[in-house]
Order: sequence, then C-alpha cells, then structure tokens
Amino acid sequence: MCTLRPFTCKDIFRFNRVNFDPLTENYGISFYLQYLVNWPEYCTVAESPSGQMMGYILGKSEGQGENWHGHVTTLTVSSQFRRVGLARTLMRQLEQISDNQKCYFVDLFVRISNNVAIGMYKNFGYSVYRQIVEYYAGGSAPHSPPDEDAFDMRKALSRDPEGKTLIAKKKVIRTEELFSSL
Amino acid sequence: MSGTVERKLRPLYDALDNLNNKQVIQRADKLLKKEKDLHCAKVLKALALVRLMKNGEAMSLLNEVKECFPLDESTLQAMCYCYKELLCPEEIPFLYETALKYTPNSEDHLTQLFMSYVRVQEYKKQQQVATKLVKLTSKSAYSYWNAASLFLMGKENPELGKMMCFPLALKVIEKTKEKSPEVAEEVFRLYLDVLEVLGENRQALQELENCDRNKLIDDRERWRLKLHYGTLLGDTEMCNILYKEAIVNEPDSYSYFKGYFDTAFPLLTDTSYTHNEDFEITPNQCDRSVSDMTGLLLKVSDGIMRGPELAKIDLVMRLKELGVEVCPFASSNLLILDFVQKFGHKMCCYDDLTVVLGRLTAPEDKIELITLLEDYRVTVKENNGTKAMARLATLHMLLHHLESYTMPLPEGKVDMSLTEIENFANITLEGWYGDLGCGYIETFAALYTWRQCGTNATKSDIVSAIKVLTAKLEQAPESATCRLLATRLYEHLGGIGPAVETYGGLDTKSVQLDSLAHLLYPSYLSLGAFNRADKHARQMESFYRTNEREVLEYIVKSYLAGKFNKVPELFNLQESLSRSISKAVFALDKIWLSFILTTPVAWQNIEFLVTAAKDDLSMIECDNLIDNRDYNCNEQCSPRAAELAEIQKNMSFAHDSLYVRMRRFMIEGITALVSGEDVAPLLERYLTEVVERAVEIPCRGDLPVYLMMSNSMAPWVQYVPYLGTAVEQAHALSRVTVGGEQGEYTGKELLAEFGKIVEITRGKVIAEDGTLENSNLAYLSCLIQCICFTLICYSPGVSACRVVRKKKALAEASLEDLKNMILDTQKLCEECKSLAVVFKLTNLSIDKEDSVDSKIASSVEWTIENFSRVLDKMANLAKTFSMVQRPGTVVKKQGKQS
Repeated sequence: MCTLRPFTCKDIFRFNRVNFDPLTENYGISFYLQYLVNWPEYCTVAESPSGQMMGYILGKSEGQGENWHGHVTTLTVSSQFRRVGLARTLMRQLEQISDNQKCYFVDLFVRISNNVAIGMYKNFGYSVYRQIVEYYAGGSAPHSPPDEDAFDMRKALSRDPEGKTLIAKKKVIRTEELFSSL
Repeated sequence: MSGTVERKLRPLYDALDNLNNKQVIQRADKLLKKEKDLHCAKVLKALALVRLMKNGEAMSLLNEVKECFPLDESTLQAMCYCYKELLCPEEIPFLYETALKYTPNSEDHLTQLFMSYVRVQEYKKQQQVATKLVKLTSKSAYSYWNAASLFLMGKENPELGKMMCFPLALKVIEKTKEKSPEVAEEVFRLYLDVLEVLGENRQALQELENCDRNKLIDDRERWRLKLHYGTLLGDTEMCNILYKEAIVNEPDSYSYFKGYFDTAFPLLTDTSYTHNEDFEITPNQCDRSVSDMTGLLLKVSDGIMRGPELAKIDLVMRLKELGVEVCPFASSNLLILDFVQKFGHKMCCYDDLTVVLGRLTAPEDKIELITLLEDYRVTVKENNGTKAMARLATLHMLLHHLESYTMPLPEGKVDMSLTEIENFANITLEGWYGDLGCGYIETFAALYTWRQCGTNATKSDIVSAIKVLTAKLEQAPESATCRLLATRLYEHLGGIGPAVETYGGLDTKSVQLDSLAHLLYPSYLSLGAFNRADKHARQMESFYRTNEREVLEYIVKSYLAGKFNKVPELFNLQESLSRSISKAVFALDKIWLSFILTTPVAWQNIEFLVTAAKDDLSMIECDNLIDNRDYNCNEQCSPRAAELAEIQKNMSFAHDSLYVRMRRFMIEGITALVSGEDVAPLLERYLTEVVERAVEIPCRGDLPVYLMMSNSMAPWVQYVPYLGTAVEQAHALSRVTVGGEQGEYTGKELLAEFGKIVEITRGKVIAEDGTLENSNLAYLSCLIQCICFTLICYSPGVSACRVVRKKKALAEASLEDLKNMILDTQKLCEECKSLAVVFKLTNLSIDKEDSVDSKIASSVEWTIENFSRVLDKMANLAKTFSMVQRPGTVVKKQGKQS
C-alpha cells in the first residue's frame, strides 16, 4: 500500500530515515545526480499514506546487443515498512520500464552474506548468474560490514523468453573483469 | 596544439594527473622562462595554484592570459576548468565569445559558449547561441536547446514568457517535430510543459492520449500526468474516473481511495444507500452516490489488503462528518480495531492508521477507541509469540498517539503501561526473526523514552531512558532511532563525549552532513569541543564547494542528455546548497573558531587573521537562506509529531538565521575596527537587524526534552536569554562585544554590564540546590565566546583600537576591566568544575566506572576543563596586551593620565 512517484533532487535531503539502514549506502550527491539526469525513469520513491518515504529504487539501462539490460543500483526499504511487499512493487516497476525499453534482462548485485535479500530476489524470479570477488568495500563505522563478494543475480525479460542471458561463461569473476565486460 | 607544444606541456599534465602540484609550478616556471607566451603553461600553473588553495595568485595568472585572448583549444579548456574550480563560471563566456570572433562557425566553440551561458543562467544568450547552432548545422537537438532556453527564459520572466517565449518555444518544437516526428520522452515532456504554461491543458491531455503507448511514457506516469492535467482543468469528474481506474488496477493503494473520495464527495448527489449484490463497476462513469462508493469498496476488498480496509474507515468517518449514517460497514472505531486485529503484527500498521486518527476529533470517540484498544491489549498480552509481541508494539504506539496515559484511570486501576513498555524494551532478541525483532524492541525503547522524557523530565528520568536505549544499542547497534535519541539525551545532560561516540555509529556522510547538520554539531560549540567543531566546519566548506560545482556540471549534462525538465530542478538544488543555512553557520563558525583556537603567538598577527576573515566574510551568503535540514528523521508516535517537527524546524530556522546575522555583524565589527572604519553605523544596523528582531523569535519552552537539543545550531541564541527574550540584555551583549569598542562606555559601565551576564550565567549553570545544571553548560560557552570577541577588540594588532585609545585614556582602564571579566568567568568555571568533580565522585561511588552517569560526569568535567583552558589562554593574552607597547600610542599622554 504505497504511492510510487519519481525520485527528485529534493529527495536527497529527505531520505535519511531510509538511509539509516546500515546496509544502505550513502553516496555522494553527484552519484544520485548521475542517475536522475541520465535515467530519471529508473528512479522511483515509494510513499506511505501519511506521506513518509518508505523506500526507493535507483537503476539504469546499459550494455550493447544482447547485453542491453536494466540494472538495479539501489533498492532500499525503511525498517518500518518491511515485509509488506514494497520491494516487490519497486522491482516490478523497474522491470516494467526495462521491458518497455526492450531490455533482455534485469540484473543486480547483492552481498553474498545477505541471505534475506538473496531469498527475496529468488522469490522475485532472479537467479545467481555469477559471483564477483570483493565487489563491496568495507565501511569505516564500527558495525559496518567488511570487504565482501557479491552475487550478480539476473532475471530474463520478455525479449529473452528462453533465458539465454542467464547462462554465464564464468561463474566467478574479479571486479575489474566486470567493468571490462560492460 | 602542435606536436612540439604538446611535448613541452606533457610533463605538466603528467604532474597534474599525479596531483604533484608543486612540481607543476616548478616545471611551468621553467618553461615560461624560455617561452613567455606559452599561455597554456600559465593556465596549468594556475590550476596547480587553485589546488594548493592559492586562489588569489591563480586568478591573477588567469587574468594575464585572458587579456591575451587565447584561442587554442587546450588553453581554453584549461581556463574553463580553472574557473569551474574557482566557482567563477561567469568568467567562462568571455573566453568563447572572444574565440568565436576568430572562428565564428566553430560548432564546438558555439556549444561551449552555450554551456557557459547555461552555467550562469543567461537564458537569452543561450537561446541566441542555440539559434546560431540551428542555422549552422540544422540539427534538431539544437532546436530543442533553443526551445528549452525559451521555456526557461519565460519561466524566469512570466510576462515575457506569455507574450513571446512560450509561444515561440511551442512553434520551435512543433516545427522540429514536423521535420523529424520521432521524438524522445524528454522532448515530449518539454512539449507538454510548454503547453501547460500556455494553459493548453486540454491539448496536453490530447497529446498524452495520442502518444505511442509505452514508448514515450509508461502507464503509471501517463496516469499521473492525466490526473495532473485533470486537476489543473478543475475536471473533478475526470479525476474521479481516473482514481477509479487506478483502484481497479491497484486496489491495495489507499492513496487512490483518498483521491477517489476527495473527488466523489463534492459531486455527491445521492446519500442514500441501497444494497446491490449485482453491483458492477462503471469504468468510464463518475461516481456520485454513497452506493457507488460502498459498492466499489465491497467489490475490490478481499479482507487481506490493507488499502481497502483503511479506505472503509476513511469512508465511514467522512460520511459521519456529513451526517450520513447509512452504510454497510461498522463504526469507525470498530473498523480501526478490526484493522489492528488483522494487520497489527505488521510494523507499518501504526503509520497506516495515522491518516485516519487525525479525523478522530470528538472526545467520546477517542475514549471509546482507547477502551477498545486497551481491552484488546489485555487479550494480546496473554498470548506468546512474535506476532503477539508485534501487535502489542502497534497497540502501544496507537495508545501513545491517543495520549491514553494522560486520561484519568478508573478507580482502583493502576497504570502499568510504562512498566510494560520498559519490560518489553529490555527483552532480548533471541527467537526474533531478523530486522523485525530489532524494529519492535526499538519501538518499545523509543516509546519508553518519549514517555519518560517529556517536558518536565528530571535528570534521573533522562538517565534511565539512556540506560534503556544503550542496552538496546548493545543488542542491535543498527538501531538508528535509539542512537539518535540517546545522542540527544547525552547532549542534554552535557555529555559530549558519549554523544559523539553514540552518534558516530550512524556513519552519516555526504548530503546527510547538510540535511542533518542540526544534529550533534551545535553541541561541539556549546560543550567546548572547539577543535572538533573547527575540523567539521572546514570539512563542510570543502563539501559545499565541491558539490555546488558538480551540480552545475550536471545542469550542463542535462542539456547534453536532453533532460530539459531536470534543469530547473537542478538549479533549485544548487541554490539549496549555496544558500543552505547550515553552510552559512559553518562558514561563520570557521572564522570565529580561527580566533578562539589561534595560538597566543599568532595573536600578535591578529590584523592578518582579521583581514583573512574579511575575505571569507565577503563569500558568505546570509540572506534568503534555505533550510535543508530534515526534522522528520526521527518520527514519534505522538498526535503532535508533525506539529512538533514543524515547530522545531521553524524555531530553529528563525534562531539560526538570527545567529548567522549576529555572528556576521560581530565579525564585520571587528574587521571594521581593523580598517579604522567607524563602527557606529554598523552597531546601529546590528541593533535594528538583530537585537530588535530577537524578541520576535518564538521561544517555546514546552518541547519535550528528547527534542530540545536538535532545536538549533545556535547555542548562543538558543540558550542565552540575552537575545532570546530580553532586548536590554541583548543591548548589554552588543555593548560588551562590538559596542564596547566605540568608547561610548566607560570601563565601569562595561564591567557592570558584563557582571549582569556573568550572574545570569551563574544562575543558569548552578541550580538552586547548589548542584551543576548540566543541560545549561552552553551558557558558559556563550560567555567565553563573548569574552573572546571583546579580547579581539583589545588586541594590539587592531589598529583602530589604537586610535580610540589615543583619544580616550579610559582604554587602559577597560583593558583592566576585561582582565577582571576573564577572572570572574574563570572563578565561575572553577566553581562549576568542583561541582562536576563532586557529581562524578558521587556517581562513581554508586555505579561502575563505565556507567551512563560516570560517562556523563567525565565528559562534563572535560568540557569545563576545556573552557578553563581557553580562559587561561585569554587571561594570558589580556596580560600580554596590557604590556605591549602599542605602536602609535602616545606614551607621554598616557603618563599624564596616570
């Protein structure tokens, strides 16, 4: 039960309650602007009936040929609004947009220790495509997580009915290889 | 660039890439000795100077090059980069205007010129350049640059917009569309925006209907835009149909029901209710009867979705307000109870219900609901398991919201709710699943704090709340609510050390440093953590500089990506940063802290310090400030939650705006004295713009304790009643600081004024029972800041003081008085320090060394010691000043006087 609306520049001053979650990264302003300027349709906020920000999703479309895909950069839900299907709603919205843009699949990265999130994405139809070594850098705060690997998870869209894009050539890669493959 | 020149410059570029700025300067100097006119080398040297923060030197080098009208691409690019780094985008257009005189048809230079105008919001000029580009290249992208420039020009000047800019922009878009009908979403959006400003909302709607489905705008956005135009047209019927369509597609969304009711009620023609089992939804027809509304609700409701259940409560309440009792649903209170029974185990249940609780105004309805919820709480309490616990949390939140604890209890009944909340707050997390368990126990800890730390909370109430919160944090360090509350309470009790430690766990960074600037930072100053405040203020200076520059570049990128609708949004963001109230506070504090933290040796160069302050001051924006601070980051379960957040925000903004002006005036006063200017007009302005305005500032004493510390960034205004409440006291403060230097007051008068301030401070920091009033330590900080300003005025480095002293012999006496002021404050600090030690010893004997009380006691002692250290330094300075032979002082005259 939420209202979806576009993420705007003003929201970066208002997302504190959502971003207090230790697994949600606080990026620099230019990071958010990069998404808002280049892929505004991929940036969505979910608002509660009382007008509170419940969560948001930021993403983009990238790649060439059969690698043309939607990517989930950040998906976060405020602790108060968890377990009510909000992440599913936001993911569907992003998948819909990627589908409209004729993407072959949607992908995302998740910490390999984040079993709750991995389970959730599997429920949404995503599967582990490959593992990326030390994709996440550790934080400086006392309870911040250390350096960690990521799972690259994918879900095929209507343009790839046979799920060809879900078969990886290499199951484990380094971060540098990831960027060179984009 | 020729190959030879490139080869010569390569080492400079390499050194720049390696951030070896000193090497860049050396190499550039070497190169320039041989080739004086190698402009690019000069500019690269300027860039290195910018990076070394030598902006003045860099600017003069750039000016030298500018006068030579450089044309080569590398010099232009490097200069452009330097001006961006220096935050001087207004210097860039000249470069390309000049270059274009020699290369009028250069597409590259024209686009660069266009972007340079974009950076300074010169819409007219950018439009002219866009027109040239269209003529030169016939590219449709430039046509849209032209249209976007016209649109923005019109937005800036609405009259001109209606007369010329908007119609012209429309013409340009339509003409370009004719030529190449395939348009991107952004261009289509620009087209819709232009139609909207021209009032052509029907046409905009038509265009939306006609545009290729899914290709340009997805369904959700299309719906949103249609609703937008429907609202602009005042077409309630159309909006009602749109909401109905949305409800059918997404029945779980309450906001659609809200809109549906908002649009159906004004059209209501039939308030009777007829039960119709065969009810069918009429998609293209507006609903005007109670039966339509209830029929739709019954049709889409399945008892599992929260949206329709919440909508039922809303509908019943609306009908009751209208005096219509016919409805197939139960009373609103029973529906609320039903909602809690169904969804109370979900964390968001409380937030859902807040939208309808606001409509519950009749006291009897409120009492009835409290009774229903209390009875249910008793039943739930007997159950075990996570769902029962979750339901209890929701029930307690709702009862707190309804202020059930303020209601008189029936005879013989004891209110055990606070104990129950405390018990739940202290249970362990074992057996709970993931983050939810943490969430619920966090809720109980917060509820306990909100109840315990209201307006009249005692020290022990606050300490017991901190104990609950810290115990919770040990179990779940990720709990932001507990962390924020504990930080505030520690600050309230003067414990800056544990406050810093607790807040540090939030790991705030980037934009949060601006939007949460009201948290913790104010206590750095009020509780004596001056070094930390200085470091933070300096970091923030670089934060704003970097981000303002980057936002500007994203505005340019918006044009390049064709995302024209983002341009105004980004300019607003840039303004929010450049005019941020926190930015002004940090910038002024940085200057002020440079005085307080400077070593005694450097004080001999006070003139240099003050001149630097003058330069900094000219860059600080103090008018039309913008408040980016987020006061909703820690929501409470109170019916006044939103109201309190608003009061806090408004009050804090008013206080901080005043603080900014006050501090600016004081620094201006000192710089005026250094320059030998007359400070009388400044003081006059200070009295009218600051002191008189101070009495208009609202001072609310009824805020709960857990909100107090985040009121303001200005301890001076917040805590010292000299400015907050009484004009006379404000006068006193101004005389002691800026005014005292005019020689209008004799030393004795000055001392008497100051004596009053010391006495007020004593009354604030030492309670009637002789104990230390920890929450008022900020008064001491203010007093010390006040002395610091006075001391600067007496510095031998301040030339104007010498003039004053030459004329008036009382200066020597005043300096003696200043020493007495410092002595008085030192005595007060000593008193406080001994009380702090007693407080610490008392608590050490009761508790363990690492207990909450001991942590606070040690921190308070540290704060007072820090104050004492600063005062010792000032006393030494005053002593030095009185011994220094001031240049220009006529010794003979002084001798006569004595």
